[in-house]
Amino acid sequence: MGVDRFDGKELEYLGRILSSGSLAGRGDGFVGELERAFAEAYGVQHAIAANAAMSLLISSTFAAGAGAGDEVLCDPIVQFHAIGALWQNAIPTWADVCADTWLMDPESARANITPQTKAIFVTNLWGQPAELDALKRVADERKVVLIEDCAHAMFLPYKGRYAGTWGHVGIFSFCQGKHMTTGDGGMAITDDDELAARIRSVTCFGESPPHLATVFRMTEMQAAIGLAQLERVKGYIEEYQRAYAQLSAALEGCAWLQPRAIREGCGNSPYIFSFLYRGDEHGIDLDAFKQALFATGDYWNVGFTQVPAYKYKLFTHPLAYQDKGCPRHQCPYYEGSYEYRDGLCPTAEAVLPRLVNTNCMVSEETAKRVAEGLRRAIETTEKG
Amino acid sequence: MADLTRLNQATSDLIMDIVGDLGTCTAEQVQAELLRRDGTAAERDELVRYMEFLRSGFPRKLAHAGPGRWVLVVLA
Repeated sequence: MGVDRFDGKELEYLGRILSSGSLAGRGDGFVGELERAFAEAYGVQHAIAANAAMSLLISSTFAAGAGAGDEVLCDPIVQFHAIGALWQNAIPTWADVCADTWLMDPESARANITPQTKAIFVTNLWGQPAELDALKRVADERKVVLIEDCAHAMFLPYKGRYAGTWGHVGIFSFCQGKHMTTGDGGMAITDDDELAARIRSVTCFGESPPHLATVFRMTEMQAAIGLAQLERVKGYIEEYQRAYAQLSAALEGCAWLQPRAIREGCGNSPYIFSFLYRGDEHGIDLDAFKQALFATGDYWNVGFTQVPAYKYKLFTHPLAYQDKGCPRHQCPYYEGSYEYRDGLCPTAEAVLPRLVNTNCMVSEETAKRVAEGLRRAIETTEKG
Repeated sequence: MADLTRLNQATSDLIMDIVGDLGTCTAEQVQAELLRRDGTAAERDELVRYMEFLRSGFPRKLAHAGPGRWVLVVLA
């Protein structure tokens, strides 16, 4: 299982909150302290805490100026930021991914920006960074906001800086199972004063909101645990890197399983260990491999979501607003003509059903055992 | 009787049919329905592990639907 995740100052900080008698998030309490510590750790001007990263995807879509009739460019492997776009009545559009990393392809992003595009959401998927410098250039050239989804990317280096600081906004998740956790929770970072103010204004309001806002406020309890976790998270990541190395070694010499590429200048904050099944090119049966993985007793996922996000009904059908057709199907404000169709992102469509994933946020000892199971599964499958 | 000790089509179909009929549901509801429909007394952990593998299915697959809840997704 994972490393000793709650052996820091969590209880001490929680005790202080209960003694204070005030549990709601406060700027002069643990929420403010966590925001300042997070901003300092990332070397940015602003950090805005919320009850969930999902909330911040919604808030940052608004902050980027995206609303009815606007497009938000998403990558198709995960759905969260596209759902955030729907919450602002904006239309998710899609850029393809690279065949070796499964991260957003900057050239596909460039090709899919239209006059309606207000923002690009790029996911630093499963602990590896996209080509953030290239994507930032695309965003700047086309005057759109680049928002990095860093839910899987705590303290993830990319060409000398952390992921989350290349885009105009970086959004981190603290839900259970992330590098650091507060149960649920999230943080947005930015150096842009106006974007920070707009995110904050819709993430939590007092009495009379300037825009349509809600209460996505983080509680003091979440922030207290977050602060204790932040003090230790780099140690967790080092352990997960050792676990990742163990799992990677199990793929060595296997011609029909393609490891995920880590390109030059890219760090790795392991979140999910992922590789690609190419057995059909070598006479190796996928069902036999699945059976062998099942027999290991460990958890493996084959095919992830199976299809890109744009093939899910939430996006293909007018379901988002009570079947009324918003935002994509009958929007009177939309002047574009974006077509959801098969083959929209051919690399994502080809890669997704072949992805083989397992959790790598585990101790090195656990990873050794899982890696042994993977070796056995490979051997069993090859023997037929 | 369903066999949860290895992946097999009959068991996978049965569990996905059950989740499809129940709508959004818990593993405990699936466990009870397996017993009622098939006479299979499944251990909860064994069932959940099997259901996790059914997230790899196509064109039908199981998906998480919030804490402790499951849903059937039909992709084709």
